[in-house]
Amino acid sequence: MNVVFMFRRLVFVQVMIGIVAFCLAEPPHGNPALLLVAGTLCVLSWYVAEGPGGKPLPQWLINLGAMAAIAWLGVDLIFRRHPIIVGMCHFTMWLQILQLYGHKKNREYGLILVLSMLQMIGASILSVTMLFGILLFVYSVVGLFTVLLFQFKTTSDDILAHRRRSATRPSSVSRPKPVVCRGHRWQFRMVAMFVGSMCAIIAVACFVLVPRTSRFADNPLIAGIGASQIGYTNRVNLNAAPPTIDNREPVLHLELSSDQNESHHLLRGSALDFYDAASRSWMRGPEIDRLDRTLSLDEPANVGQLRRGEAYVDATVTLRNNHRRTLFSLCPIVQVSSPSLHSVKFNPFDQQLSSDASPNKVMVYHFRTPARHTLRIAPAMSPRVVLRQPRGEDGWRLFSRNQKFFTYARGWDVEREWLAKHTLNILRDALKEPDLTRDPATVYHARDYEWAKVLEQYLQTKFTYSLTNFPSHGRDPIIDFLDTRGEGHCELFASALTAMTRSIGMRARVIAGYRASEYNAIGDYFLVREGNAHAWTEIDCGPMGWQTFDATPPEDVAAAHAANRSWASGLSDLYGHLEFLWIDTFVAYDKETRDEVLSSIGDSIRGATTDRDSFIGGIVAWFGDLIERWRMNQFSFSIMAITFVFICIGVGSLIRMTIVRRKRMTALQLTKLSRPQRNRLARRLTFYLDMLELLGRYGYDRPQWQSPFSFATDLSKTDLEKFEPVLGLTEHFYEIRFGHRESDAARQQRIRELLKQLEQTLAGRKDVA
Amino acid sequence: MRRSRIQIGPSGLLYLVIATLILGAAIYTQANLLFWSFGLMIGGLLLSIFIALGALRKVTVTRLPPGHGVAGEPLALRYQLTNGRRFWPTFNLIIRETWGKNRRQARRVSPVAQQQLTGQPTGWILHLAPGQTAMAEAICWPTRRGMLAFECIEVTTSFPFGVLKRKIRVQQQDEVLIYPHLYRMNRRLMFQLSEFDMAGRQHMDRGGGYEEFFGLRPYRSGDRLKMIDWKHTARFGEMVSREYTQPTPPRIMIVLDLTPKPASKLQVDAVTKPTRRWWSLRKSGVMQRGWSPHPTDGVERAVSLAASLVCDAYFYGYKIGMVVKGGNCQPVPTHHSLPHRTKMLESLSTVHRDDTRHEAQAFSKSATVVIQLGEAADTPSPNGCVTLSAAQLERYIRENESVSEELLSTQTVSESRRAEVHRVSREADEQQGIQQARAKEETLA
Repeated sequence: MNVVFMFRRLVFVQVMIGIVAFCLAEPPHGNPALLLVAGTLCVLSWYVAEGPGGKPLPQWLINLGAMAAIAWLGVDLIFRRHPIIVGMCHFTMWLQILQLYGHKKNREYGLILVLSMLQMIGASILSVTMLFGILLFVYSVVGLFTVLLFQFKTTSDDILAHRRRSATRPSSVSRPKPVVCRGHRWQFRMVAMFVGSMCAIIAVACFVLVPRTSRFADNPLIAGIGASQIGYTNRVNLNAAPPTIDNREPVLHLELSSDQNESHHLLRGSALDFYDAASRSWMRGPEIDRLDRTLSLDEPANVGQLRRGEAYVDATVTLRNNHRRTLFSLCPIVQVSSPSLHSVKFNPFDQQLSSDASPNKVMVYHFRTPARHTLRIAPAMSPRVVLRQPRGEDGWRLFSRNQKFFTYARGWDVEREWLAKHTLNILRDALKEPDLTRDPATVYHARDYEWAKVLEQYLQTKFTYSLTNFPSHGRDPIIDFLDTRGEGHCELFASALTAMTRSIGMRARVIAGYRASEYNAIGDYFLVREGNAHAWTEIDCGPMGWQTFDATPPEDVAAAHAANRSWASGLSDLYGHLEFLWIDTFVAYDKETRDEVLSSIGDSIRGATTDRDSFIGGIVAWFGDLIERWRMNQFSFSIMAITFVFICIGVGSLIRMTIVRRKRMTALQLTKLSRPQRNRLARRLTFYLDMLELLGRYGYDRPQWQSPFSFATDLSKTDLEKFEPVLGLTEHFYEIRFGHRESDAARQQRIRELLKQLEQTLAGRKDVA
Repeated sequence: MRRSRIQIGPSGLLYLVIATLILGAAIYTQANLLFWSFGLMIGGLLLSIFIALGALRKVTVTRLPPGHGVAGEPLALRYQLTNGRRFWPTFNLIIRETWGKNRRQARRVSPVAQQQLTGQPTGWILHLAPGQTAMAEAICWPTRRGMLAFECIEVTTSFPFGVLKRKIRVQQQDEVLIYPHLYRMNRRLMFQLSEFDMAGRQHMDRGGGYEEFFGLRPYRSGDRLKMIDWKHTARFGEMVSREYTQPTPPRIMIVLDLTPKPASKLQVDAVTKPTRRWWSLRKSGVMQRGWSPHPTDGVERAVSLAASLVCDAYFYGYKIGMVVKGGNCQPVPTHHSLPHRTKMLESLSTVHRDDTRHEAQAFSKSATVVIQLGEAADTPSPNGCVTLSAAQLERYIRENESVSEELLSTQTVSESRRAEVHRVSREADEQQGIQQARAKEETLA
C-alpha cells in the first residue's frame, strides 16, 4: 500500500472538489469564470509541483501570493461588496491553490485540508442545491479516505524522521516499509466503509435531533445573498432590475388533477392595486391588507361556490422557500385545504392567499378551481361585493355592495390626460371608431372587455420584450415605456396595460406571480423555478368579473421561460424531480418539521406499543396482562422478586466464575489445550495457583509474560533459602503440566509440605521484617 | 503487567475546534448542510471513542531481542504482535520502547538519557489482521558497548482520525549485549601478524592433514585409495596408509594492556580533542556519531581495536587468544571457533579498567600483539611482539570501509583466499616501497 502516493492524489482531488463545489455554490448562479481560473490553476499545480520533474515554487513567491490574496480579500469586501462569507471563501481558495504550488510537508498538507474544510463550510451556507449536496457528499467520502491516509502518512513520516535523527548515517535510512497482514486492502476498504456508514448514520441522527430555531438567519455574514436570487417579489419596483430568468432554483410544484391541455398556467401571488409614483413601485393597498381573513384548514375551507354541474380541477402546490409568506394559486379558487398548514389568510377582494408559517417550511396545499375561468363563479373577486359567511352555511356565498371600495384599483395620476388621450387614440385607431370615448367616472362599460383586449394586443404587437432595464431618472418608467422606449420587461407591460385601462376609468391591477410552463413528465407536475417569475394584469370587466390579460408578447415570454427540450430532457426531468425531493426533505427541514418528525416517531412507538396486533405491542400487552393472568398478590410478587434476585445472583456468579476460570487457565498456560485436557490439568495444578496466591499476598507477583521457571529462578536469585520451596513446586508444576506425570498421593503430600514450608518461611521473614 | 490509556492529542483538539466551528456556523445560519456536516463530525468523534476503546483489546506484543548488537551499528529489535480478535483488524500501530513508570522517570533512567542509545526504538505496523501475527522491526543505534536493558513496550494507535490515542504498556524486561565498535583492520597489519610465528613452523606435528609426509599407519576402513602406500603394503603384506601433517594457522595472542600510561601528546590529543583525521573519520561514517569525547575513550579505543582484531582474525582463520592487563577479564587461550570469538567479544563488551589487577598473566609471555593505551611503536619488539597503540587506532583500520555483516559473519575465508590476501598485501608493500624509492630519487634529483 503506497500511502504517500495515494495521499497526495487524494488531497489534490479533495481540493479540486472543494473548489468546484464552491464555484457552483457562489451566489447568485455559480461563478463559471472563477471555476475556470481556479480550476486551471489547481490542475496546473499538479504538473508544476508534483508531476515528473516538477519543482515546488520558492517560499518567498508563495508568501507574495498570500499577500496578494489578502489584498484581494479587501477588494472583495470593500469595492466589490461581496458578502463576508463569499470573500472569506475566495480567500481560503486562493490560499489553498498557493499551498498546492509550494513545498508540502505534513504541516502544509494539514493546512490545505483545514482551509478546504473551511471553504466547504462557507459554501454550505451559500448553497442548498442538490448538486452542491452531491458534491459535499463526494467531498466527505474523499475526505474520509484522505484523513485515514493522512494518519498513515504522518506516522510513516514521524518514524522516518525519528530514525534519521537517531541514525549515525541519516542519509542511509530509508522510509519504513509498512508492515501489513494478508488481505489488508479489502480490510482497509471495509473498515473505511464501516466508519463512513456509521458516521453517516450518526450524522443523520444528529441532523434530525439537533434543535433548530425558527428564526431565519438574517445576519451580516450572508447579507445580500438571498435577495439576488429571488425572481418573484410582492412589490414591483419598475426602477429596479427586472425579474431574473436565469435562476433555476425550484420554487414550487403544481400538480393538476386533470389534463388541461394548456402549455402554461399563471400562478398568481400578489395582487398590486396601488401605484406609488414616487418610488415607481406597485404594491398592495393598506386598506386591502386589513381585510385579510384567517381561514382554519382543519377542514377544507370554501371561499367560493361552483355552479351546479360545473367542472373543476383540483390542484396541489408544493411550495418551498416562502420568504414573502405568499401562497400561489390559479384564479379563481373555490376551496382550500392543506395537510401541512393549520390556517391561511385569504382576502376575498383580491383573492390573495398567504401564510404565517415558517419561511423554510415546505408547504403543501390543495385548492379547487373551475375548469373554465368563468367570472360568475367568483363573485368574491369583485370589489363591489363583500364576502360573508351566513349562519348555518359552510360556504362563503353571501355578497353585498360596499361603497368603501368604490375607488379600489381605479384612477391614474401620472400624466393622466396624455395617457387617457393616447389610450383612446389607440382604441380609435384599432377599432376605426373616431368618435370612441369613455367616461372616466364610469365604473363599468359594456365594451370594457373588448377595449382591454385591444390594448393587450396593441402592447403585444407594437412593443418589444426585453430584459434590459433602463432606469428612467426623470419621467415615469411607464410613460417612458409607452411614449418613447417601446421595449421592456413583463412588469412594464403589465404596468402599462394597467395604467392605460385605469386612465380611461377601468378598474385594473398588476398581478405578480409565476408562469408555470415546465412540465416534468417523471413527476407529472409543472415545475416552477425562480426564473419563471412573471407579471400580468387583471381588469374588472363588470359582469364578467376580473379577467386576466397578459400584455407581454407571448412568444417572447415563452421563449424566455422555455426549458430546452433535448435528448437529455428525461435526465433533466429526473434531476429536477430529485432536486425537489432533496429540497423537500433535506433543505426545508426546520424546527417545525423536526417537531413533527419527533412527534410522529413518538406516535409510531406509542402506536406500536399499544397495538396488540403488532409484535412489540403484543409483548407489552403480555406483560401488562401478566398480573391479571396470574392473579398475583403481594406474596406472589415477593416470591417473584426473590426468584429474580436469585437469578441475578446466579448469573453474576456464573460470569464471575467464567472470568476467574479464564484467569486461572491463563496463569497455568492451559489456554491452548483442548477442553478435557484443560480441565484435567487445571484440577491437578491447583497447587501452583495456591503458591502464586500465597506469594502474591507477600508482594511477589508473577508478570503475565514471565514463564514459571523464569519466575522461580528470579525469586531464588534474590533469596535461595527463602524461595527454595518455589523451585520445588515449579518443578512439580512442569512435571505434571509438560511431563505428563500423575499426581499421586506421594507427590501431593510433597506438594503440601512444600506449600506449608513456603508459607512458614514467608511468614517468618515477615515477622522479622 | 499491561496498562492501557486513552489520550487526546493536538489533532484531536483541532478536530474539536473545527466541529465547534461548524456547530456555531450551523446555529448562526440554520443551514441544514452545516447541521449535517456537524453530525458527520460528531459521528467521527463517537466512532473514534468507540474504536479507541476496543482498538488494542486482545492485541498481544512480545519483544524478540537479538543476541547481540554492535556499538555504532543499527540494532534491529523485533516485536511479535498478535491480534486475538476474530473480526476487527487494527491499523496504524506504533511500537516504542519505554523505560520507567512515566515520562519524567524515563528522562532519567532510559538508555537514551544515559547516552547508550541515540533515540527511542520505534516500530510501525500498518495493518494487523484479526487472528494473525505480524512482526515489527524497530531500529536503534547503540553508542556504547555493554549491556543494554529494555524494560517496557508501548503500543499506540490513533486510528481512524487521530482524535484519540489509545496506548498500552507491556512490561517485558530483556537485555542485549552490545559489542564494542568494530572496524576492518588494515590488510597489511593482518599480513604482518599472520607471518609471525615464534617457532617458525608452518605445520603441526600431527597427522590428519594434507601438507607434508608425517608417517605410516595401518589402513583404516574409509581411507582414500590415494593415501595407500602400495610399496609398504606389498612389503608387509597388509594395507598401509600414509599420513600427512596439518597446516598450522597463524596464531595471535593479544595482550590488552589497560593500565594507565604516561600520556603522550598524541594520546592527549586523541582523548581530549578530535584531530582533523578523527573528524574526517566521523564525517566519512567510519566512526559514527555517538562516539562522544569521554575520559575513558582511550580504554574504549583499545577495546575496539582488540575486538576488531578478534573479528578479523576469525575471518582470516587465525587462532587468537587474549589477556587483559588491568581489567576484569579472564585470560582466553588461543583457539579458532565461532563460540570462541563470541566469548572473546562478550568479554570485551563488559570489560572495564580495574587498577587492582596489574599482575602479569601466564599467557602474556606468548603474546604476539600488545595493545596499549599510550603511544607505542608498531615494530616488533625484541621478543617478536607487535605493540599497537590505541591512540593511533586510525592507522590500523581501513578508513573507507565501514563494519559490514561480513565482519561478524560465521564464515571464514578459504585458504586460497587467505593466500590471495597475503599476495595482494605483499604486492602493495612492494609497490609502496618502489614508490617511496622513486620519490626519494626524485627528491635527490
